[in-house]
Amino acid sequence: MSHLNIQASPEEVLVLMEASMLFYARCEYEKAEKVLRGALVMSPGNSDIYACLGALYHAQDRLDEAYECYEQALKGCPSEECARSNRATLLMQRGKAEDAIQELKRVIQEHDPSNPVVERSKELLKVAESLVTRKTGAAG
Amino acid sequence: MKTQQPELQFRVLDRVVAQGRTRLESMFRETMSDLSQLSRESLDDEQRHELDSLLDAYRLVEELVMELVSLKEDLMLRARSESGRVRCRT
Repeated sequence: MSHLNIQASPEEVLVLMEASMLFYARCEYEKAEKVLRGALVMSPGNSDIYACLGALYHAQDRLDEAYECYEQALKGCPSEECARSNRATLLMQRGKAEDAIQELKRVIQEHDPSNPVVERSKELLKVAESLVTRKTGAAG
Repeated sequence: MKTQQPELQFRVLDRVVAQGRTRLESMFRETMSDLSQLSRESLDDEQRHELDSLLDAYRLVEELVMELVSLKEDLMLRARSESGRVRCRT
C-alpha cells in the first residue's frame, strides 16, 4: 500500500491547521480531528500536525492516541515544545511525575522564557515536583 | 482540561475570510485538480481512505470559511447601519 502523492502548498496545510484550531476551541472535536487527518494526508509526518492531533486526543481523554501523536511529533521535531509539555502532563496523569519533570525541565531549558509554553511548563513543573514530594513523603 | 495547542495566529484563515470564498478556491484549485484526475478504482484501500479524509477536510474548511464570511458580512452590515443611524442623529 502506498500514500497519495499530494503536492499541497504550505499555505493549504496551514489553513487546515488553523481551521482545526478553531473547531477545537469550539469543542467541535470530531471536525477538528477530520481536518487534521486531512492535513496529514497533505503533509505526512508533519510534527506540528501531530502535536495538534495529540492535544486534541488528550482533551478528549484519549490518552493512548494522544501519547502516540506526541511521540510522532517529537520524533520529527524533538524541539516541539507543545508536544513535550503536553506529554509531560500526560505522564503526570499516568503517575509518572519524575519523567514529567525531565520533560518539563527540557522545555524550560531549550526555549525562550517569554514563550507561553515555557511559562506553562514552569507551573506544571511545580505541580510535578509537589507530586513527587508527596509520593516520597507517603513512602517514607 | 484544555491542552496546550501550538501557537497559531489564524493568519491564513484571516486572509481567506477577508478575501472571501474565491480566495479559498484559488488556494485549493491545484490540489483539487490533482485529486479530480484520480480514479477511485485505481486506488488501494489506504489511498481511498486518504482521499476521503482530504475531501472531508476540504468540505469542513469550506463550511467554516462560509460561516465566517457570512458572520463578517453581517457585522459589517450592522456596523454600517449603526453609523448611518449616528449620522441621522447628528
